[in-house]
Amino acid sequence: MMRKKQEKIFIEFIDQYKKRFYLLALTYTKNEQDALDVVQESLSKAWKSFPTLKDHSQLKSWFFQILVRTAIDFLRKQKKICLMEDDQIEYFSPNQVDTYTNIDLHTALNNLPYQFSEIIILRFFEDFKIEDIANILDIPLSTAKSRLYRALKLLKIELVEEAANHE
Amino acid sequence: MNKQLKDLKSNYEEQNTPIELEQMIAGFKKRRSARRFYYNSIISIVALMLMFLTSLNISPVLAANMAKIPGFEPIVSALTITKDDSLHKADITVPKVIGTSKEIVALNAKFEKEGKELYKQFALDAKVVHDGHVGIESDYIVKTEKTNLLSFGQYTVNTVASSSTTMKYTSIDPQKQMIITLPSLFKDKAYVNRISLYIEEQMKKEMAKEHTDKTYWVKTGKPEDDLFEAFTKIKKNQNFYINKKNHLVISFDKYEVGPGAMGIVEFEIPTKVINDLLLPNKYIK
Repeated sequence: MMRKKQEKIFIEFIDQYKKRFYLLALTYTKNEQDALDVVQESLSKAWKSFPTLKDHSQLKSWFFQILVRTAIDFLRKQKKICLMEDDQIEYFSPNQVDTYTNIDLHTALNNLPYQFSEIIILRFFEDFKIEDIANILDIPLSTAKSRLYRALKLLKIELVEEAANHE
Repeated sequence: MNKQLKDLKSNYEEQNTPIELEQMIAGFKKRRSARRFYYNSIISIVALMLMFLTSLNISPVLAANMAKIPGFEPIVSALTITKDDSLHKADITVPKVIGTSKEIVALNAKFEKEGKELYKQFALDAKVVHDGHVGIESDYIVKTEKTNLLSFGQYTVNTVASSSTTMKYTSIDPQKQMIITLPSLFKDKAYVNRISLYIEEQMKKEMAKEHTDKTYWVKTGKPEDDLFEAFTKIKKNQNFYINKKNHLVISFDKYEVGPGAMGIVEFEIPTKVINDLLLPNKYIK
């Protein structure tokens, strides 16, 4: 049955990426239990609207879009975020020291406002194209590019050309 | 990739995941397959028939309803309570949605409980106002009935001295046996503002018309704005239904956005207003 086939695709997708869902959710919530809640809610939302997703090759970016929105929604409910311009975000970010060991770099990533960490994760850890990221985060392409650039700068990561451009 | 980024990536990926993640995913899968079981299984149909036959015997109202309408009905009257002694009148009809999923069963239980509570409250009022008029009337109206969409409203008219009317809508996907909530239709909460703005605009438009008797509590910039609490936003779970044209209709109870004379106020939201905020769905077109 159609439904059965759809279910198979969906379940396989979950099994493949479940850890990544959790890690991305954790980037926002900073807390295990809340990250689990966000993943669970995203799964239900996605499953409900899955039958209407036409292009299954878009499944990953489609799901990540739902996940990101659910996470941000969650933060809003917790009143843990307020809207800021990019300049302000940078201004209020913790001061970055000059050098990091790898572990410190990881902590630094965790301490970035989510507007910067999410873009690093989606671009380099999840290998999304910058166009897809703009779509997932629902921001203009130019904003996505400049945020990625700033994020790398904040992490004091040497800019290689490939960073800002997609392959 | 840059070495720092590579290290960062492996650090990220090597983070531990809690065991609850596996449990939650397993639970999620189980619920999915449980639902599929209901879809495909003949057993569930047999169970449904049995349930049906039993309820036909128990409830004459249900039987009457079934006789009236040919074919399978997604919603029926489950419980009717009536009482009439010239002064005190109660007429409460509780709907029952046909279905076996947890959500539907819980919903039906809620309806039944609410119906009984209405009657309890009525009995109490009747005791207090033993020589005055007390009335309660509650029933349901089906707004939309399609294979994948059932929208109905339950109204309650309460008469103790003055009368008040409330309307509570429920929408269901009878195929999936799922309740459709307002937030579940949208990608995120942006719909609250979008719909609110649209409604505010409509209110102002309608009030600006000549020879209109419509009044809404909406900011117009006139001094009388201070007399009421102006409408600013719909609630996240604002009362709503989906009409036959598959359009979203937002409903406000008496007194919620206007004086009592306006009664229950409803606004149909053109789909183009909310289209980009909707999750892909079959209900709103």
